[in-house]
Amino acid sequence: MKALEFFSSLGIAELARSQLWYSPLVEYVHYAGHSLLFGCIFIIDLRLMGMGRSIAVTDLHRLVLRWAAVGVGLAMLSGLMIFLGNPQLFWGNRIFIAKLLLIPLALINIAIFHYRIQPGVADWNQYLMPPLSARLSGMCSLLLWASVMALGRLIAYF
Amino acid sequence: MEWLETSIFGRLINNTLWGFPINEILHIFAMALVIGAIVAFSARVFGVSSIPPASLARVLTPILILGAAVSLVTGFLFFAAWPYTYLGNPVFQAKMLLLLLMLALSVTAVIQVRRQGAFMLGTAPASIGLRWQAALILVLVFLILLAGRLIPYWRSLAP
Repeated sequence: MKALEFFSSLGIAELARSQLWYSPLVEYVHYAGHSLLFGCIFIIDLRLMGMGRSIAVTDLHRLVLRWAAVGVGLAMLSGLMIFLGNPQLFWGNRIFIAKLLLIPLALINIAIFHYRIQPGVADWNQYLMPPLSARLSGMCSLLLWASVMALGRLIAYF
Repeated sequence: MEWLETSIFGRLINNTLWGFPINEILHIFAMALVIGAIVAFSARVFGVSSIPPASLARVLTPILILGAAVSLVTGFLFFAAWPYTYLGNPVFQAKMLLLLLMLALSVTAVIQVRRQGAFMLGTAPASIGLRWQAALILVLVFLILLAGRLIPYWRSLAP
């Protein structure tokens, strides 16, 4: 359990215990971040799955992707702070481990979209049904991020 | 209030093992949908992107309605499970006030949006009044989120 000792030795758990505002503050940032992320990516996922085709995919990306990126940043930073605030609670928790495995999958799904699917977007940017690859990518994104959020809430119960 | 606590609504959460976590997850999902729809439309009101707002509204309205409906129903179920605890909590009271304010502002914003035909077609920028309302709604939605997170903490944080 070297890693757990290391995380505990950082002093952040001490801070979290002595400062009453620590938990509510970092949890709030986490909620705000993942709400931004999920809420914005949900709109993009629906569009990739073929809804609202009068809007160009590239225009929708320009409108909401940056807020989703801000959300990912806030959620990850505050998530790390929540973890360091009470490492014993999370270390070895199966739901937490499952969540940590799904996050990279969701990010890989974004990378696949960006490098493999997005380059051909001009062919189906507006009015046309997106190709199967894009629809699948949107569905995977929706399911993965939804699972990440649900698992996050369930950590406390296991 | 006692009848509420012991009614089917109250018992769904306070008398079952899975009721509370499932309700929490649904509440969190729903508020993410609300926040996403508000952030996306506000960004358009502030002039990010040139998508015709009418097209955007067609996509965002069902998301917003679904999110708002599920938030309100799951929120009500929390309240029904422990009505006295919530009523005596000043942060909950503040959250309900902010929520009412946001709902009222949203109604006036929708009315204004419908009146601004050129904006809806994407040929004119949003009026200053609409921009202010969008900004206020954005602030309110994140304040409501903050209040929601502080509800269980208020006793330990109260001076």
